[in-house]
Amino acid sequence: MIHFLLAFGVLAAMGLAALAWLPATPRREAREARDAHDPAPTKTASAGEAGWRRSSAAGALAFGLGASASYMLLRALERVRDGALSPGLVLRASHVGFVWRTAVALWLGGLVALVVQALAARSPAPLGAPSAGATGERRWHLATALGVLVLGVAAWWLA
Amino acid sequence: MSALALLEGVHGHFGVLAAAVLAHPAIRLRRGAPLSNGARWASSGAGLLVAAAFATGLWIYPRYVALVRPRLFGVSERAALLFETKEHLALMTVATALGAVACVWLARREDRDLRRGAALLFALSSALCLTVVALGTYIASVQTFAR
Ligand code: HEM
Repeated sequence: MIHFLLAFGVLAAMGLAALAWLPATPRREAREARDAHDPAPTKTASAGEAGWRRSSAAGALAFGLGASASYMLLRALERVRDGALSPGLVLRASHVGFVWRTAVALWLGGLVALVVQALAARSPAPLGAPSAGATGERRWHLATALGVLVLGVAAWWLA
Repeated sequence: MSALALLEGVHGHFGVLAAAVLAHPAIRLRRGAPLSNGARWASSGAGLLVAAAFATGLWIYPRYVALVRPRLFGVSERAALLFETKEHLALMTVATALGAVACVWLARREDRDLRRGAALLFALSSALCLTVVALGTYIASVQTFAR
């Protein structure tokens, strides 16, 4: 059952991502333009601040994937160290193990975010930026979709 | 009625609500259009709900380990091992949701590509949360604080 649920989760995420490729209807475009209200439009912000916001937003996305991937890596290392999951092993473990793993994964996720933020701030034409065109945007989506797939496969193995 | 059973119920409700609410920004952001301020706060609310589910889970966890887990192993080894899976997926749910919420606030009007990335993270978080809710409900139906 768990494998079915995980497969469903990954497929649902990828299906929603695929929706992004559907062309918008003109009515929908007009409504979204009317709804959108940015309290700090980038037109008035300095170039430095605009760049900082873009690279930090990329860092935030990297945090989400980085912390998840770090957690799985830590768990995989434990599996390699302790061998297959067994009732005895689980019963002996206290609640502290999970708390530590969580804290370390979030910290590593923060590090990944900082690295990605620094790289994005330095890159002259970031992947997926409007100047990168449709191919750049498609590459960015493909990279994220692949990330989701890798996370799904790893979660499957750890389950 | 025990306080722990009540807290477990509250924890479960936070989780179910979070799974539903996380799907909304995933759909709204899927083409990368900028969000209104209200919609940004709504997506932050979704992040807050997952964080609340995670925090209340951590709160009852030590008592679960001491009181419920040994009995759960006695009744169903499979359900007890599934709880471990629930832990892993819960961390991923909260991390992806928080990253996506931060991206929604930081991205500029023209950063459509990043908002699409946030949509993907919200979608992933929602799907993971749904799985965690299904696992939690199943495990609690086998053995819980109330029994
Ligand atoms: C995304 C985060 C989470 C969600 C959506 C979630 C969801 C749920 C749900 C729906 C239940 C069933 C409640 C009921 O039917 O009464 C449950 C039970 C439970 N959850 Fe969570 N949970 C999350 C995170 C956590 C975390 C991080 C922990 C601790 C490590 C945790 C510990 C527990 C415990 C101890 C139970 C009771 C199990 C039992 O009685 O056998 N949860 N959870």
